[in-house]
Amino acid sequence: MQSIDSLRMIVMASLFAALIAAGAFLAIPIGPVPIYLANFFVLLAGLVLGPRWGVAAVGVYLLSGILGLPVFSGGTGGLGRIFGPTGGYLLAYLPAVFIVGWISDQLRLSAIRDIIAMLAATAMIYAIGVPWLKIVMGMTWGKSLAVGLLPFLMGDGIKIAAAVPVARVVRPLIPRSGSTHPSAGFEAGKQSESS
Amino acid sequence: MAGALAFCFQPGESALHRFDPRLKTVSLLLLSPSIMASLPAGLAVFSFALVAFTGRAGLDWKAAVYNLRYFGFLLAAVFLSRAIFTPGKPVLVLGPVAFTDLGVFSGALFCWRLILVTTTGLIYAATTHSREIRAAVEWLLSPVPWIPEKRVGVMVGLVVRLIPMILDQAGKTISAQKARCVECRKNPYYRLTHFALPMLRQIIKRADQLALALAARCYNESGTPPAMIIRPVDWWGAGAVLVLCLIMIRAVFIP
Amino acid sequence: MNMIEVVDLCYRFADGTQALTEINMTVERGEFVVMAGPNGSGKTTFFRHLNGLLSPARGTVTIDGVDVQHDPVLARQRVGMVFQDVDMQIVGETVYDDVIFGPENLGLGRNEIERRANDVLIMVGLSDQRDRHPHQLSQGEKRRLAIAGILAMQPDVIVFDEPFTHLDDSGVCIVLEQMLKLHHGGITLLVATHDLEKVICYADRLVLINAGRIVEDGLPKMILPKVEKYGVRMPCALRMGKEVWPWLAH
Repeated sequence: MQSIDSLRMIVMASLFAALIAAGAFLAIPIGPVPIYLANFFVLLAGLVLGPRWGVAAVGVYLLSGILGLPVFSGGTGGLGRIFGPTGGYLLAYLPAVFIVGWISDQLRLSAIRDIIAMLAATAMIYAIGVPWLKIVMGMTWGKSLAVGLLPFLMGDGIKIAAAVPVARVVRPLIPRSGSTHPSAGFEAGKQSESS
Repeated sequence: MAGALAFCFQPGESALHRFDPRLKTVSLLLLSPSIMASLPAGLAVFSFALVAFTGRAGLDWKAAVYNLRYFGFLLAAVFLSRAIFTPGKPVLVLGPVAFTDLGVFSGALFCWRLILVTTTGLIYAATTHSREIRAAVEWLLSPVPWIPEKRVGVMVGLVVRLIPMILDQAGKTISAQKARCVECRKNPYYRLTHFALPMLRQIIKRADQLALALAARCYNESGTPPAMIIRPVDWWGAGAVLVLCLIMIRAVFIP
Repeated sequence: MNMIEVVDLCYRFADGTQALTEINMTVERGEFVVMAGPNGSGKTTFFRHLNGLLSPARGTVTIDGVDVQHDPVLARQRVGMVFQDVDMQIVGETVYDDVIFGPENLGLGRNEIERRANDVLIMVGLSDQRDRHPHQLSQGEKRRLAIAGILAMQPDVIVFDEPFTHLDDSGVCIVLEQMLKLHHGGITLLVATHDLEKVICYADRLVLINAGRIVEDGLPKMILPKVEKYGVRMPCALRMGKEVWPWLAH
């Protein structure tokens, strides 16, 4: 029989996979430009679920996309997106979420720690995404960086900054086995259910 | 958007629909990299086979093309980028921008490949019910020791269930905030935190109950496996795909 | 033997609040029990002890002679639970997939699963919607689907937690019809609600719960005059000195 705690993690990881997919459609405006939130939820998944379940969430997201479910940005899926110009960014989500989860597990809980973890992960995303873009588009390094990195830096900065307070609130809601956070939810108190 | 999710699959009785989902999935996974590595001759062979075989499947292409319009953007960008930036002899000059011969050829070839991979994926999704996709994934993952395949199958199913719910919840959160003039605030950090926090709190609370519902229905990682039978014609089909892949990656010589 | 026997059940939340105190209750096979109480009185917490989702701090819960703690899986098969948030109960990508989820978990044979799915879909009136996706269904259809998913596991008891939330009149009638069908089929029903007017005509018994304790337990017509003392609204008709009419016209 599956323990209810592990069932909750299964559901939470699936939820974050769905959030990453929904992030392809959710955006906040910076001035006139919409900034999409898929990678925001990738970083958050690492912070909140930890390295193992974070990888599970991103893995399920990528698997769903490869099998043709329209979970990649633009509402499409399939290996065509992976082999296309933005495929590198997508595949890089996997090591990125691991990096965020692993770093935040090693160090003591603090905002600085979370930011370092997310910066490292974001660097990984571009370290894979930009060369992939360059190869597919046949551009020079300069142009690849101008198209594939620079326009996103400010948006990423805001997402990293916002992920810190969001993670701080969301973490206690999700009981990770072995974590020191108190298990909130249906056993902990009345706030979760009203009958 | 939730509609697009629902209508990937088009019910039917074609040979592709009846092709065993495990072999179909393996075929997809073999064909896609083969297409990317193939010579133009191989691509021509595959394109011909694709049109010939799926022309009779009775699929609705209009809906698929509409859903792919964003991908069309990417394709155009790839073509233009390669056509302009690949060094070679200019064949077309438009103002400051010159299309080179090698560039046009390389751009067209790459785009052809992407179109073929995407079309193959579309046909797969259109002829395979998600239940069969999950069954095939579970079967393919079962020899891998450290991945619980049934769990992966359930998670993929949950992702499909949860995406419309999240978009719904996001819509509600945004409406509630707009009603309190959040659009007057221009600071994106404020907008993001005040969007994400209430939405996530709600959706996580609801997801908690989903876990209880799974437990209440005795979820476990064993349980009746899906029923799948491989017929002789399925082996022939898989064999044909294998031969096609070998032709494309030049392992088998064709004059 | 009683279908459900609860003896001296006590439960405390992780933050220390006492949720249930000395609950003693028996339910006979085939009874239709309504459990009423204000929000936070402990109805949901109590129900979750019946199928082993929660473990008591003290006391026992026995379903048809078997202690729930000794075999929670059996308890979950015998006690089906229809949750308040119906969206978060539907697991399958299509109606059919959701209905077979329970039987597949029970490890039944494929033919048996197919048979049960067909039977329950006919029972709830969704057999022509097998391939529809859950988010395309109306609230009433979703509730019927949730019930079908539970019925496919062939429970002896079905527990409804606030089943009329978010339903319009026709949705309420649909759910009531299903409940009556189940009741006439011999299934023991427990319904938690604070909205007595919809269901009290059909109940054999009314139990009032307040602050984690059972305060009244008996025939509806004996208990209804006292409900307001415990934070539950009396049906309007009674306030006006008349009888409560059933929702479903016969």
